Amino acid sequence: MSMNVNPSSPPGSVPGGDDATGLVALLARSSRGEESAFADLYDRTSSKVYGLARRVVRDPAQAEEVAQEAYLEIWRQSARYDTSRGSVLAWMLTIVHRRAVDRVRSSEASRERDTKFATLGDGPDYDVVTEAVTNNLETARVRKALSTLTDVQREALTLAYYGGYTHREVSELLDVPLGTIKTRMRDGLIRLRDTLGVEA
Amino acid sequence: MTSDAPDIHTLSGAYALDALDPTEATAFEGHLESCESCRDEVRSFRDAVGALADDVATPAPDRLRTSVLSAITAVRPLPPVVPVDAPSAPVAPSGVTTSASSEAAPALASEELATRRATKARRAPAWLLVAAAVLAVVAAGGLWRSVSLQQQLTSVTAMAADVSAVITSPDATTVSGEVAGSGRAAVVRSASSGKAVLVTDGVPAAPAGKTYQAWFITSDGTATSAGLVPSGDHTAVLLSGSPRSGAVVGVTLEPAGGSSQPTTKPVVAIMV
Repeated sequence: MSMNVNPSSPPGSVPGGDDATGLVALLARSSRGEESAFADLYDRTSSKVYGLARRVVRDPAQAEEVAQEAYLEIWRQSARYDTSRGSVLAWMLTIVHRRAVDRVRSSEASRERDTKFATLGDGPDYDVVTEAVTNNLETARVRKALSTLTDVQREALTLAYYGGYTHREVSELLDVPLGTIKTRMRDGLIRLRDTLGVEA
Repeated sequence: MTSDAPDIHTLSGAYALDALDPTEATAFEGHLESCESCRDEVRSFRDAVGALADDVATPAPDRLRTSVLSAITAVRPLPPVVPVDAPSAPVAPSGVTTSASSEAAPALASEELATRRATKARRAPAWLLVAAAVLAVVAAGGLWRSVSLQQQLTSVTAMAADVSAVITSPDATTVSGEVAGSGRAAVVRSASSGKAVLVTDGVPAAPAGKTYQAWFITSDGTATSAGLVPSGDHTAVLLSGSPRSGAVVGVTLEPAGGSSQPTTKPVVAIMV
């Protein structure tokens, strides 16, 4: 089968295996044009997809556009997903994140955002825009994992992932050399990954 | 800062966070083709950063669900990538491959590249958003309107699928220009399919008895009709014919029904 979905060997790297395997099946059915499967996939992922878009682009209307665009791409690319590239959710969020980042990096959007940056203040603000956060165990687990990072690691990760900044911009924002930022991003992700129990 | 070979492994973190510049990302993807440990690392990082989205999960507005599920009805999912997929080579009629294991790594890397090429093609994301929004409206309209319009809708939906295929093609390029008076227009062109889509944003409706018409204009001034442009604040229309690179797409105001040759000065001219 083209999607490399092999029920006898579920991807070992996927956290929360059963749930993720469900997403694999829904995506496979979507790739065959089953709109109802895609509706289920949407229902199980939309708060994360929309929440991530919202966190990066900030403007609710633009976040909706980014999320809509991402879902269309996910539908269109559904047959191209390959379990060897990570979990379905990670694949979907990669698509959303790239689109959100493209959005904020386009010159108009970044100009507008620059004026908003003053309100960001110091340090990570990953808990600021979480109105109506799904307050579940997963959230607590992620926050706990983030708290194990050094300040520079955490700030580099959150500015890049939630803020959509490039490593050069993060280097400027934190006034830390670029080489150090690259290393901190990688160290930070290794620690986050290991704390969250994602298999390397 | 040069990314020389011993140093390039350290970019895996920034790459997984989408924090590299486009040229660095392309260079790193070239590296990923040959470095299995970096591929594994990026995959594990993506699962980890995906968890960060848990922390910002926010219920999506109901209308997003409606518009997403409406829009997909007009978009055909792509076929799976078949191994041994050389560009411009004829596709082998048999889907069975015996060399799957040796093909697996290049297929993965080329998939990464395809994704990145698609990212690069979104140089003017605002235009694609306009087009996507138009598609969503078209698709949603398809559900809401009465069945007596079924035939008209079928052609509209087919058009939406064509528009969508162009704007989401990996080699799509976008060029935009100001429209005289107000608004902007952009041409999204896919060289591989030879098709192009005209997207407008904030262009006033054509006056009564008039219509906007698109043209392909060659360097010697020869104009060929590329079809009528629907009226509306935001529109996306598949142009009829294939503009060559270097051709100009112009839009003129013509009498309702269109003309065989332009009769007015273009309100916008975009070189593709």
